[in-house]
Order: sequence, then structure tokens, then C-alpha cells
Amino acid sequence: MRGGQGAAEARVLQFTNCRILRGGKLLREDLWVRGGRILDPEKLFFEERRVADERRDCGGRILAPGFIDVQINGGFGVDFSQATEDVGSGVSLVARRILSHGVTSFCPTLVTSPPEVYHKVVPQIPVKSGGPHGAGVLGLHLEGPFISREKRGAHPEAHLRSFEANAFQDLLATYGPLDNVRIVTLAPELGHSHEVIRELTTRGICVSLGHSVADLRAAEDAVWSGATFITHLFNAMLPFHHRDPGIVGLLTSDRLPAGRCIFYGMIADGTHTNPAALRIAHRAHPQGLVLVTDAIPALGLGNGRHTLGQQEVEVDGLTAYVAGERPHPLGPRSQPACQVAHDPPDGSIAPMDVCVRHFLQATGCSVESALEAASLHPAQLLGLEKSKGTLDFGADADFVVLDDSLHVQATYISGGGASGALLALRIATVGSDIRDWCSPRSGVVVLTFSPFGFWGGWPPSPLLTGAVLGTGGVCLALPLFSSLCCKAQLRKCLQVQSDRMVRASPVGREQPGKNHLPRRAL
Amino acid sequence: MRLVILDNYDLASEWAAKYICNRIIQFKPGQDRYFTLGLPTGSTPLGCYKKLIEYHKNGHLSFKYVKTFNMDEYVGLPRNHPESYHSYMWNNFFKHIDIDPNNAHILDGNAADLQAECDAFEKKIKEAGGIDLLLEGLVNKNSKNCAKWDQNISFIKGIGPDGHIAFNEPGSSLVSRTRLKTLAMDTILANAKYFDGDLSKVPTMALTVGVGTVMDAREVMILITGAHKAFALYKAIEEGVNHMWTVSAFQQHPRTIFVCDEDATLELRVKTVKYFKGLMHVHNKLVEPLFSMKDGN
Repeated sequence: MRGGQGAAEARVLQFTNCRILRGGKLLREDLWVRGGRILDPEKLFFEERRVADERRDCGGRILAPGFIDVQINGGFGVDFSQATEDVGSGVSLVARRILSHGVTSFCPTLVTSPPEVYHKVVPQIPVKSGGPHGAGVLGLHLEGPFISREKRGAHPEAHLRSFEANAFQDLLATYGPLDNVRIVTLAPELGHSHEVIRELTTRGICVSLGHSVADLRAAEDAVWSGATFITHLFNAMLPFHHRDPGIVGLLTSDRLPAGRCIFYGMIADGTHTNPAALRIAHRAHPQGLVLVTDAIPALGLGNGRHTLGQQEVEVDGLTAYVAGERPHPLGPRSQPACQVAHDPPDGSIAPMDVCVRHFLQATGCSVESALEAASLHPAQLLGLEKSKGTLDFGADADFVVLDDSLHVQATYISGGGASGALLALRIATVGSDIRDWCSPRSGVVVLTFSPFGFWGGWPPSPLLTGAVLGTGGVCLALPLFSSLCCKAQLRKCLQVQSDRMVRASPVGREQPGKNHLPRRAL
Repeated sequence: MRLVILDNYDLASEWAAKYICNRIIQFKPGQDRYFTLGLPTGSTPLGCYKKLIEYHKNGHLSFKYVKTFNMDEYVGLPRNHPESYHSYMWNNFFKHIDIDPNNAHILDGNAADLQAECDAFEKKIKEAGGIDLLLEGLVNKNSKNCAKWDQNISFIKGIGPDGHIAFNEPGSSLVSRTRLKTLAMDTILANAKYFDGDLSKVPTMALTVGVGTVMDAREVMILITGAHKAFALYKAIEEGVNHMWTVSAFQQHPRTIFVCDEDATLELRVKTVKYFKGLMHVHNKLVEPLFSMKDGN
């Protein structure tokens, strides 16, 4: 990235008083960064005979590799599958906003769309390094149109395709040039899929199985052809059956190529998958679990109607449904909606850090496992584990500062910067948890963006804010007042969520009044 | 010689750390006046290092004007190997304190010309004005590490402990300087457990300061803890000076302190132990009060 000489002269940052995730463990170690890379301090000490130029006290917090989201359809009103004139600025907006969720790299995902959309959109989203401007784009994830009709989910039926005789050419004709593509989700039971999988794999594109009615045998054959990922396990595939586990059976299949690890995406938002199912998958194959958001454009926005590709969806709380196709998910407020558990939601709006927290709580796994599921595993899936998803020496300095309950306190991302000396932009945020926003605390939340990586606290000190403004930073102060109506509305939203959680559990006969929400998970 | 006897390992480590702390602060190190410390590796000094780090973290002690010289290093082992003495010093000491990297000297076991490296090291010590305080542990082949290898190698049975300093094994000249040493077979066997049990991976040679180099230090403090070191301690102080027990050379050093725990005194005469325990009130004056750099020293 940067010339050796320039990097050697760059400032050395030492993050102290922290626990870092390294080698699968949380170690009481300092994190050293120089030139946007994680630095080996022992080498610095003995070979260069240097000490740190600046120390930052992390207050005992956890430093984890930045999260990597390999399935995100949009957010903040931006829909990646829309062929707008300026696709680039939409991607940039999302890239910037997801930093506060702890995501430092992502794969913008396009749902099933007509070829014109792909031809227009795909070339406009190149692979791009992250930086102060936002999370890095690792490549596109094309989910569809070569998927199963029965398991299309929210994908529009009109644009589904199957492979014709000249299968790979058909794919190229649909998508256009594949330079910016990183992952393709397809259904392996489609004819000619194996030659397509093989061809994509040779081109370094990760093939994922999803939206499919394939049985286990077909899935295993697809893995032999090169498939390495499963798109949102359990959703949009045949359910597990004890005589034919289907795609789900890949997690424990003994018919896979030796040494090959099959990865599988899971949307751990509490609605897409019952926590018990999440636990089963995690216990069966913990090393392959990849947390994804599968977020739709409504991510980060309030309730209401938003687009998703060629469809419209309605958002309420943390779930979304295709508008007009299904009854309003709540029904009358006084009646629980019994059919909710059986109708799969059409997209998620839970941010990545919420997913991590829910995953941790639902599976009871270690903090290290939860963090690796959102960072190391997606990096391994994409073959990037030397530079991303890890805090090993030499890796890119993309990391997130978390408190003990895994709320994002700050995100650091290694950036270019014109001067070459910029190491990382730090974005302070006060968690993206719905419960936080419902808190009856009143006060001022300061989101501080500054090229000098300044910290905005809770509550902020006037001196700090003044200093930030003085240095040309941008400071947004959002008053959060504990007004009655605001609290009541938010409480209803929570209650709805509580209902959803209760319905989703197989034992769900509990009264809606009781609070069954996981501790600070959502 | 002072023989300081504490009840257990932790108290012995703490006493030693307090002594070092006081010596550094009393010396009043500064820009043109560095305090030179000789440092050991191994399991014995770990408690002492932890205590020194604690004093540093609490603001009582700074190593800004302290120079350190380590006693030895393996030959041919990569510097960043977890078993190298560079790694040991970094992980157990240097990374926790504020020493200037230019002032931390360790022999380079990967130098092109090893003897030149040894000579350069001696020169660096001289240029630093000699070592003010040298801390060392007692290396003992009959420690717990060796025990499990006994059944495989019958010819090392019966050798017994030998109490040497750094890698100055029995027979080393008492006036030796920093040099290359081939390691004895049982040292290699004892170290094998740190190299996945693979004898071919264990270093067979090391660079070590000589007995003479250590004797040149203005003050020497030797840490001896554990019952398995008791016989070596007996040989060191109750018998004569002998090159088979190189630590006995310190009987001829003007300022030596042996810091040990009760178990290490098990082979000494009751008379010796009682005599030195009776002097503990004098010895404790060296560590009480414990000075602090916060007091403007």
C-alpha cells in the first residue's frame, strides 16, 4: 500500500489499557499501529529502537477487528439494487454510516434484478479501500437471479432465471463483467450449475448456496465444485430433515473435501432464526459461522415503507415485510399475531453490532467467538484473513472499541489520507441499540467526526466540544429528552419486539406483558 | 556477603525488587548519569520483574535513565522466537516499562561474527561505566525440568546440582569474559520441552557473559529460591571457591547479596541460617523505607 520508507517514518500509536482479540483469545496486551497497519512492538523495540509517539488509554475496553458484513442490501434509505444515476454516492453513504455499527468492510449485495440493473449498477461499485470516508468495499455480493422459485423469499419472481445450455455465458450476459463481484449466491439444483460454480471459483469469486431446494447430496456436490458459503442458513432453503438434512446438513457432512471449511451466514437479529436453531448451528460447526445483517435500505431509518430492489417493504420495529403481500405483521395491537412465526421476514434492519450482541446472548458462546463470527470468519471466507478480520501484526488497522457488553464505543479504520501520515479515523458513537435510545436518560448525545480522531463523550464536556469545533471537526448534538410521548412510542416498539421474540420461541406461550427480551441484546 | 532470608518466593522477590528500586532512586539517575543494571532470565526473577513493573505502573520508579545488560542469549535462535531471551525480556519486562530501547542491551545470537559480538558487548558495558547492580538467578541442572528426562539418559543421573551463573557451566574459568559456549547435554535436554520436545530444534550454543564480567559489577545480587537449589547455595557459601561451582566466585566480590527463601537454606548449617536471620533487621534497613520517584528524588 504505502512505500516502506514512508511507513517507517509514520507515527506510532500505542493503544494501552485494553484487551485485544488475538489468536482467539482476549489478551491484556497493547495494540500498536503505524501507517494503517498493526505493528509488532517487539520488532520496533529491538530493531528500530523506537517507542510509541502517542499513547491512547482505552479505559479497559475490548479492541476487536472491525466487523465485516458480506450481505447487506443497502441502508439509510439507499438500495444497492436500484439503478440510480449516482450509485456511488449511495454506497458511500452506507459505507460511512455503518462505521458506527463497527463494520469496517462490506460486500454491497444486489437482490434478484433484471439484467439492465446489473449492467448499470455493477460497474459503478468498484472494490475500494476503507478510510475516513467509510468502510471498505470488498466486492459485490450478487444474490440471485439464479435461484429457486419456491425459495425466492422477497426476490421478485419475474426476474428469476435458470441457466441455459451455455450456462456461464448466460451468467455473464445477465451480470455483465465480473470484475467487481466477490460473492454469487445461486441454487445448485439448477441445471448446469456445476460448470458455473467451477468457472466462478476459478475466477476467485466465492460461490454461495442459497434460496434453494437442494438436498444434501446436491449441496455436497456443489461444494466439491467449489462452493464455500451458505447464504443465511435456515432461511430460504429446505428445513432440516433427519433423513435428508438438505443444505443445513453441510455443517456436519463428512463428504466434503478434506480440510475444507464450509462457511454459513446467519442473521442473528432474533427474528430470522429462532435462537434454538442458532444454537444448534453454532454448536454443530462454530468455526464456519459468519454473522451477516442482510440489511435492507430501511436500516437506520424509522418505521415505514422503503424499497428493496423491485419491491416495497414495510418496517416495524426490527422486522420488515413485503408491503401489501402480507397482513400487517402486528394485526390489532391487543391480539398477538400467531402466524408471524411461520412467515419469514423479508429483510433485516438489525445493525451488525446488535447481531453480535444477540448472537452472544442467544448462544452463550464466548465473547471471542462472537467477535470472530463477525470479523475473522468472513475474512477467512473471502481469503483475506492475513489483512482483515484480525489484529495480527501486519494486518490492516481496522478495529472497533467495545465495552464489556459489546456496544461500539469507537471505530478505527486505516485510511490513506493525502498526507500518508493519517493512521485512522476514530468515530465515536453511543451504541446503536434500540434499548439505548429508549433509555429515559435525558442529555446530549454527541457524535463527533473529526480528522483528528477526537472523542465525543457522553455527556460531553463543553471544552471538548469547543476544541473539536475549533479544529474543524463536525459535531452533531442530538438532544434525547425523556418526553412522555416519545418514551411511550418507543416502549410500544419494544413491546412489539417482545411479542415477536415470544412468538418465535417454540415454547412461546408466555404472556406478552412479561419482559422476555435478552439482556441488552436488542 | 549478605545472606537475606525471606519466608517464601514472593517475599524474596519483593525484597529484591525493593532493593533494586531503592538503589536506582538513591543513585539519582539523570541525563548524563545512567544507572546500569545487569539482568537475568529464567523463572526465578519473574516475581522480581513483576514487582518492579508494579512500582513503575504506580509511578514510584522510572527506567528512563537506566541501562540494562542481559547475561546471555541462545545462538542461532530467531530473535522473535518465543523462547529467545529477547522475547523473554520484552514480554516479561521491557514492554511494561519506560526504558529507552537504545539502552536495553542483549547479546545477539544471530550475529555474523559471534566473538566480535561478545567483544563489542564487553565494550558497551565498559562505555556505560560498568554495571552498577547485577541481578542473577542460580541455574541448576537438577531442577524440576530435568527430572523427567532422567529415565531416558542414564549417564546424567548422579551428576547433581552445579549452581552456575548464566551459561558458565562447571569448569568455566573464574576470570572468563563474554564468550561463546556450547551447552551441556543435560541443559539441552532440559530445554527440549520448550521446543516441542524436538531435540533438533533446541539451540546447542549460547553467548554468555563470563564469571569475570560478572565479578566486575560494582554490586551483585543473586536470587536463589526453592529446595532444589539448596545444595548449590550450600556449595556457594559454605564451601570454598571452586570453578566446579562458579557461583562460589562471589565469595571474593566486595559487595554481594544472596536473596533466598527458606527452602533454599535447607542444606545450610543451622548456625549459618540463624546468624543471617539475626541480621535481618539490618538488611531490612536497605529496603525500608521504600523510596519513590514521586517524592521528588
